[in-house]
Amino acid sequence: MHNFLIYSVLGLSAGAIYAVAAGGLVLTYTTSGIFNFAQGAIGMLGAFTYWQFTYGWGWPAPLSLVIVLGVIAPLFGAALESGILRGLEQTTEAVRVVVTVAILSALVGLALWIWPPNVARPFPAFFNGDKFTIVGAAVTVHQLISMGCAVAVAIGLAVLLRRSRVGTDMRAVVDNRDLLVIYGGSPDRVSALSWALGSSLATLSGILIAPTLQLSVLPLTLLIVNAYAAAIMGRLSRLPATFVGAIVLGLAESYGVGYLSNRGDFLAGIRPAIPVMILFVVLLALPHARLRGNVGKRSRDWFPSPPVRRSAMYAAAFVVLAFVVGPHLSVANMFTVNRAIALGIVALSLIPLVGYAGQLTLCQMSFAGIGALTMAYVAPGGSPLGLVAAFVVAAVVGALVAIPALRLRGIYLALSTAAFTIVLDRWIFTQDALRIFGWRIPLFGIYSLQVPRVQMPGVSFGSDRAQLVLLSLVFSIVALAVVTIRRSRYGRVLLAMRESPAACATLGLRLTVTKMSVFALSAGIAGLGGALYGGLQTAVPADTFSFFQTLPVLLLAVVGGIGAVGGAVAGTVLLGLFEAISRIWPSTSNLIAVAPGLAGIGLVRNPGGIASDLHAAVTQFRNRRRVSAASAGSAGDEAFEVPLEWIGIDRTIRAADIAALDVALGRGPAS
Amino acid sequence: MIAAPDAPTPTVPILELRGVDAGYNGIGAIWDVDLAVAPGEIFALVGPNGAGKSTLISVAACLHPATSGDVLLGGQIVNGTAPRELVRRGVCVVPEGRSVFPNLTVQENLLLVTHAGVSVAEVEALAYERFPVLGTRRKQLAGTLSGGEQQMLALARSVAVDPAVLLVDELSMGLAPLVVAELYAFIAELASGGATVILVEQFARTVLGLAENAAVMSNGRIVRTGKPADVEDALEAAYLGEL
Ligand SMILES: Nc1ncnc2c1ncn2[C@@H]1O[C@H](COP(=O)(O)OP(=O)(O)OP(=O)(O)O)[C@@H](O)[C@H]1O
Ligand SMILES: [Mg+2]
Repeated sequence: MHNFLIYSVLGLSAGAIYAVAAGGLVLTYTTSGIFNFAQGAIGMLGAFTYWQFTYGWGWPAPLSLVIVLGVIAPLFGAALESGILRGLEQTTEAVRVVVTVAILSALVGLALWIWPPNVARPFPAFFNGDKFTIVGAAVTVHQLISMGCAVAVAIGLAVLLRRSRVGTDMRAVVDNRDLLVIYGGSPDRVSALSWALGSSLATLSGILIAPTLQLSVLPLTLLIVNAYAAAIMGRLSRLPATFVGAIVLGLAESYGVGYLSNRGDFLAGIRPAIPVMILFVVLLALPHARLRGNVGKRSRDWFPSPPVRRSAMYAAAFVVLAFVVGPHLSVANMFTVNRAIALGIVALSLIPLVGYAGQLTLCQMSFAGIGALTMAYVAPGGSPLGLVAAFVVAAVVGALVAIPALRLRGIYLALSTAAFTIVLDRWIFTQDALRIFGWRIPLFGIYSLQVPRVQMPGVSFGSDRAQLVLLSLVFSIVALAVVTIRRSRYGRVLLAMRESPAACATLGLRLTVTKMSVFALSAGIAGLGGALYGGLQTAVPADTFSFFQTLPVLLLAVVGGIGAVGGAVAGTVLLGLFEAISRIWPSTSNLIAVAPGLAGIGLVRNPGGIASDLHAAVTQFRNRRRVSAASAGSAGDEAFEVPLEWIGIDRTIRAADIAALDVALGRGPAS
Repeated sequence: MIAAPDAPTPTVPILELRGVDAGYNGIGAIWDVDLAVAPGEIFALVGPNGAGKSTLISVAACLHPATSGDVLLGGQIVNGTAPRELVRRGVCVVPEGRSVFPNLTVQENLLLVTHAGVSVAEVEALAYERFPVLGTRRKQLAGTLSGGEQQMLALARSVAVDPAVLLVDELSMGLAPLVVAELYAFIAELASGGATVILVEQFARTVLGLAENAAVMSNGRIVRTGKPADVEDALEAAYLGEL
């Protein structure tokens, strides 16, 4: 009973902090339609900033609180809104998610840069953790403050949104932004204000939670998953439900930790997984219609369908190039190139799933990790069958993950896949081994796992140079396969599903099967890439396949152009370049860590990615040459080059695709 | 302000468009529009679908930029002014379709009227006095009001600003004749109290009966301006596609 009280107090105060963060999340989501994946990173940055003022520079705590919560955080939030997020109004939900994930990634890189993690930064609780006793349970002043903050935020937000004109403006913006202009309000100012407030709330929660977690970048950033779960319980719009959800989460986590962590088994390390599992359950338990989110924006993406023959030539050229260049690369350069290509295979796996099918996931490195584990378990001697097994096992897991995800899309899908990956990398992967029916499957553990390189009878791929050839070969084959998918009926169905699931359903397409199969396919490719990536590293620590490792791969693939194989190639090149630069000039390594995030933020300007830009530039160059050759001097011809998109016609699915879809469905060409 | 001694007697138009062109994404929608509306009058703007009436209204209220030409309010050029400024100066647009915030209550909708620079008490008093039915539904979500009640709520915005320049786009869309008559009675009352009203309608009969002056639009241009009786033939031709 005594323990129960203690756990309850802990849970309530943690829940209070989650409530503060979740309140900010709901506020910004309801006023801008953008789900802020970076909310936790903002809180983390805020906590560090507060630490810097109070302990780094020795300012009095109240003064630094005022400065950080009242000036820096709101300015940061408002700048984020007006500088980046405002540009997202006309984009698809996928781009919005990717951009906020990019902000998350950039902020994490930034924090690690400013506050290198190898320095201890004590972060005492308010009033040095003074405590007193209430009905037998010790309560610290800090915990009381946390709870007080939650109550104040709950009341404050309710009053703001229900009683004040500014709050009414905030709700009016969601209802009809243009109409608010007609009424004489200024939606831009309202949005900036709500992001300023959201950023302050994130920072407050970061400062409150830091003493229990220690000041460290990744745990603080991930802690926000609790707030996500709470916000989802409030269906992203109801503050009371959000606050109740946050308290329930805090308590569940506290009891879970209290009663499970003394056990010597698998469940002992469950703490970080509890909120994530709750999030997962909540996502699945809420009725589907409520999870609609903002959909229906016209997509501006680009899905070229290159001829297979040309692609095959490029692929062959790539393998030959690898073969020829290999001997001339230094060991370090060779390793960089190999790593980039291996991750490039994972990037390729994103193209059918995220690009063609429009299913945004954040767990691709988990599948890669599963591939590496499979390879290590099935083929410790390096048999190529291990690669096959890696593909198959990852694909099966992918299909299993797809089942709960079938009903979800947009941010909800992204969140549930993030939940999955965090459960794996914070709980499962770090275990020593998995025991199923008496089998013992070794996991990465707290150190690392040996993953073999492929060996074939007669051919060994043990050397780095042979690895280069093997990797480029696999990359080329996978790339060709993805191109082939794009050109097949299956590829057209994927695109159609992305454009309008409802229309597909009315056409009689079987969405369930399609979704599961594309998840499986993508996971399989990622697993294959992971097995090769693991072999490349040989000794593989668990965090190789963590949530935070997924981010650069995803971001650079999207920056490259997620709709095209060329995009994955561009992303791979960027990955390699970034790593090479930071290795050759170590002083740039911090900047390079921020780079994928910055590049992702750049998507606001150009959601199509580099590949589509290059393609447009090449096409324009060709056209211009053709025009000037045909009619030297008649500049008026350019008027005919108005892209169809400019006048509101969507070219994503071309007429030929539609006709082919009709034929595929046995309906004959439309008359 | 010192009035010029020899000011010309004709009053300055309260709202004027001079040679205005406007379009969307580089594609024109209205061309070379000249329009002058005198203070206190009811002005009807009529024409078939796609003629550019709504575009004209948006441009006149500075909600949409003109690519060339000038918009004048009370003789002052206002192109490029923030819509907020014009709202403060009494310009009140009731756009096509839904023009209330569906997920806010009646009371909250009226609270937003205070952006025009009037107090909430005043807005509520005037609105509930003029439209008693709104007074009985203060806490109801605007989206759940009937179409007629929604339009009343939208028009209630104009009672609080004085003198108002009211631009109403397709007020009667989807409403029963009785309700339309009530709304137009309200508009006539506003005009007699000094407000200027510009009415856009597809179905021109009612507004032409109400208006003092009218303009007919067709294919993005104003094809006839004059007294309502004088524009009817042009209107007919426009609907038949002859202009
Ligand atoms: N947001 C927009 N984007 C692009 N074109 C537009 C937009 N709004 C209107 N247009 C075009 O401008 C032209 C004029 O449209 P407008 O809505 O002003 O006509 P209207 O006279 O109000 O028609 P209706 O009586 O049907 O309301 C039309 O050709 C229309 O297609
Ligand atoms: Mg119109």
